Amino acid sequence: MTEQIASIVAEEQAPPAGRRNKTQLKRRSLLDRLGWFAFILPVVLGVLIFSFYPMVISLYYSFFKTYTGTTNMPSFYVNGFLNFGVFNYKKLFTLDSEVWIALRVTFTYAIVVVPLSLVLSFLVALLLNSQVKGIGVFRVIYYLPVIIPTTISGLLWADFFDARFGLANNILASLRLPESRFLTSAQTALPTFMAMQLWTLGASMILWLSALKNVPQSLIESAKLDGAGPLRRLWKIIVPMCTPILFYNLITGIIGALQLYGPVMTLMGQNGAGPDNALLFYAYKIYGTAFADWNMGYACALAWFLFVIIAALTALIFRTNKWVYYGDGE
Amino acid sequence: MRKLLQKLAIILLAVSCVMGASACDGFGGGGNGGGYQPVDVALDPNTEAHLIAVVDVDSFEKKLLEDAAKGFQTHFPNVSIEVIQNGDVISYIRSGDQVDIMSVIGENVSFFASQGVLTELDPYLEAQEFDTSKYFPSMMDLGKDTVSKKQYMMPRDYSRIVLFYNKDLFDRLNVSYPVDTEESPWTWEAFLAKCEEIKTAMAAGGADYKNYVPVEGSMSYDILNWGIVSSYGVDCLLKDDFTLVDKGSPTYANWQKGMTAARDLIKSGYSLDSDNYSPSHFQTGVAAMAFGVAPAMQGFNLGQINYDVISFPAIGNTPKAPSGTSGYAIANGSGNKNIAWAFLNYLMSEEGQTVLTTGTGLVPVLTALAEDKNAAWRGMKNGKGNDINIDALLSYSERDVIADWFGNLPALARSPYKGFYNNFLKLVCDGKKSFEQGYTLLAQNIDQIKRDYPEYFV
Amino acid sequence: MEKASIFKRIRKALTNCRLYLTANRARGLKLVKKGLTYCLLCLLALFFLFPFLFMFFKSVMGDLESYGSMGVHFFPQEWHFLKNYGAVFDVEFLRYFRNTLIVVVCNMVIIPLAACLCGYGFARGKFKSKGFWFTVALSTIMLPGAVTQVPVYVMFRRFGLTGTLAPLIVPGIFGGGALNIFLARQFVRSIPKEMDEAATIDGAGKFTIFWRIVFPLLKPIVIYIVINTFMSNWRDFDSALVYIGNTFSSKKWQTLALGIYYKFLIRGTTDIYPNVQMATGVITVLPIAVLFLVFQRQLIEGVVMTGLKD
Repeated sequence: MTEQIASIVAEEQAPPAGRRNKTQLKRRSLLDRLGWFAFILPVVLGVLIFSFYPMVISLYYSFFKTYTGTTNMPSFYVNGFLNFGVFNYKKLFTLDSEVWIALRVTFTYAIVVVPLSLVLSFLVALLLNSQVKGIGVFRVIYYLPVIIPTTISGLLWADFFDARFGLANNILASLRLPESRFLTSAQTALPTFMAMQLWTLGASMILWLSALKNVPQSLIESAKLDGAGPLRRLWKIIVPMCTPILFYNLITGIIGALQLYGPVMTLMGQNGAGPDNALLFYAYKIYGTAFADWNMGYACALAWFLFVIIAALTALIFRTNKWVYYGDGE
Repeated sequence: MRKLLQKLAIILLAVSCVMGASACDGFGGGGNGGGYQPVDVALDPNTEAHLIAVVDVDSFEKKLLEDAAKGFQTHFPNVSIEVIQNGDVISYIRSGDQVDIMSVIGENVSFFASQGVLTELDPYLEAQEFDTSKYFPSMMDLGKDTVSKKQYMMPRDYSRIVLFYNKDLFDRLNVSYPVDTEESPWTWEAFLAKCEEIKTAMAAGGADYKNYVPVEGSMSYDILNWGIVSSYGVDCLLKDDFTLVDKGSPTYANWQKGMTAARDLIKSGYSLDSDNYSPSHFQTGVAAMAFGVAPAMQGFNLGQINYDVISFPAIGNTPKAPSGTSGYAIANGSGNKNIAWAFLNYLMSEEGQTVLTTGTGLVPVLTALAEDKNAAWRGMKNGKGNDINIDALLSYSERDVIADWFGNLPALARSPYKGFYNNFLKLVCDGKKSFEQGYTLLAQNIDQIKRDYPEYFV
Repeated sequence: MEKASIFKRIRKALTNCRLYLTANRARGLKLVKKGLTYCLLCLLALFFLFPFLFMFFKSVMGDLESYGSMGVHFFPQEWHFLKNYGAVFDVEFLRYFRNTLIVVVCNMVIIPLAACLCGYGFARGKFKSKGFWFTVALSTIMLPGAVTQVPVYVMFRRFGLTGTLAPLIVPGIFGGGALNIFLARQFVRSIPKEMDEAATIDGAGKFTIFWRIVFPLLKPIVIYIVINTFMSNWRDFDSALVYIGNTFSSKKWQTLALGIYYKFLIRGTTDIYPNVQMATGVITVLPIAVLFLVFQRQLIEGVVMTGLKD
């Protein structure tokens, strides 16, 4: 009898099944949270190992004069001489004239190609957005250049633009136009390269296409009804709705342009930097310093300098992003 | 607050993990050195070994050494030699792979020796009682480090820069072949005159010859350049204290004359500057003449060119002929040094030299074999199967000059100096800077090396 | 009376005419517009296709003809199709092909999994630092590769992994790129939460929900990521160049892009004729081109569906 009463009392005093008391709530919640965290563990680890740690260590390396990367850590003394100091930064800013050439080449390239390719790919995307039959085939054709491996594209263009035996000069000659020295002359090397890169504007074009498709047709229809001409519709409706993509394309375009070196290497082969260093891109210089000269310290200093520049540019763009229109974004 | 601490904790944990892992010394430097190996030149023919030989990327090199290895196997049947092709031997050695034998270009001997990747061969030469006088002296000297004069590399053939000319193209242009006789010796002036003849003929030939060149040769290629420059007096640009010679000195004047001669070749349109230069012009038939070495004939034969050969044009009163070859050396990290030496010894023997030079277009470095009028190597033909003037490959061996423009520069400083020196050659020969400007720049560069890397000059 | 009716009729006729003309003008304009569009499209298509044609034609020329020493032509005068294409398939090429295939397949399996896992975590996760880590992950897009290149190389070197294919595959395990994670997250968000909740009530754990319910629904974005990964890994040159290089032990691990670079662009006296080079090029491009042709709808729509709004 007493036990029965005791058990009934115990039952009544116990919290109902649906509610949990405070400690239990906290405990389960922590486990629960950790469980969710486990899902993003790969990317967290990835960021730590492949982004955060290298950044910090890279800064550390940049203070060493001689470090070939074959030992675990650079040594503080080499042959009795101090290896640690701001030597690399001094070299970067004063002694090495190639740095400024590289910056000039890279920035010229970025300033010309990024806006040009944005505008051109937008126009092409507009064209591809028309509802004619067989548009799919054209889309594929325009995107094809993007998927060629860099080496093949380098082979192709190196042969095409060969100053002596290339087809380009042959075509120019048959059109009675003056021949050009293309990649063998300091003045024409960079423009040739820029023109070559514009061939691959399919990449950003695809993104523009998706953005254009996201412009609600209803808006356009109502604008048509209101009597807005095509140019007006373009400028006032389509472009503003595409600004998020523009933003994304601009940022990735600038960052990509400032880090470019693969296409140059595959184009020029053994003459990597071009005539008079006309194609000496900054990232190419970093690669050469790190893996041809095996001077890791200086390469890290160069890389950090580039990083600071890119960070400043990106911050600038972000701060002035008032012109980006977010629809129902987050 | 707790969240922030949590995040910091995770970051610190990850960083320390990676740093901890880094504390494990997982990899070694350039091979384990194989320990001390006493010199033994009387090896048992049944010795077993597997050697790795690294040669340059040219496919011809690989076949050459493989054929030689087969010959070697008749003496040492249990030794197998694997031939690998690689363009950058030093990185490759640094990556820790096994290397026993490597092919080294003559100009790189000192540099490689300075990096500590080559084995000294003098103990082996002594133990073998190797008679170095049986070989062309310029080639044996090439295998020595210019500072310590220690032998590191055994030359494999006698190679000097000679001039090839495309007989078919000459015929089409109606230009007479170059000759070298008592009455009209083959001097630099005669060479320039021939170039002018060819250039005029090409210009008159119209559109067909629009992109043709009279002579293929890179004037800023250091060994070729050195051959031209040193004809004006053999002196290194560097003084003993590793600054450049003074501007008023005779060495400076000689250098200026030499570099001007090289540059004029480009300026007159006889040869191409470094931006336009391509090493395939003669092989594809668009160059009338070409500076080249005997092994290049393999490529010319592939292009089926009907060529003949004449010696390097003689410059001035003390003409020099640039010579340089590659040879084979024993890697310092090898664990099979004795066997490797046995292989090198074989390559230098009459049998080895015969194997290396028969049908390959190489000239033997063993003097007796080279001068033997009936030797098999003289059977070489050009791309259309016609005879060539073999003697031109051997003539004037007293003029040979090898790569010694580094002087006594310490080993570690040679790598940066090489870059600056090649840049100097390129700028001046291409005409982008005058000799004086280029010279000043080079002087600045050297000062920079001495100032920034004093530890190299210890 | 008659005049009026004539006038009326004329006016009616005129009005009809005008209406007809206006209507047809619009239609006419439309035709002109259509014609113009086609014209432009074809012109541009020629511009984009031209190098491919150039590559193909050059690949069937004879040796000297392709070099151009006897005059430069666009259309080949001799067809050496079999000879040149046969010359492409030597041992080295097959090796490069195999290596590239290994890298690509591994990444195609690992990266979508990792990206979806992380995307699911970011979309559904209930932990406070979610926003922080997401911003951090996204900001890695803006990190220039050059800064991390050297230390990561040294890191791989410590474990003896340089010169092998590992450095090209391992980073994929860790999320496979911020962009893929972002896309995955967007997509997961569009899946209604009710299904999750129903599964939770039935007693399913988080991972089971992900694996059994959410992941199968992610098929479109998975296809997109898979194809994207294939294409970017097939073309990759920069990282292969840094990690694999050209030493003896690493030569057998070179990928297609890298192998071709060392074979044709760093030259000796063989392999100098452009025709075999171009043939190799054509063969390298073909798989991606075919893949893209087949899957182009998914690729373009994949981006459309997730709507890249920042």
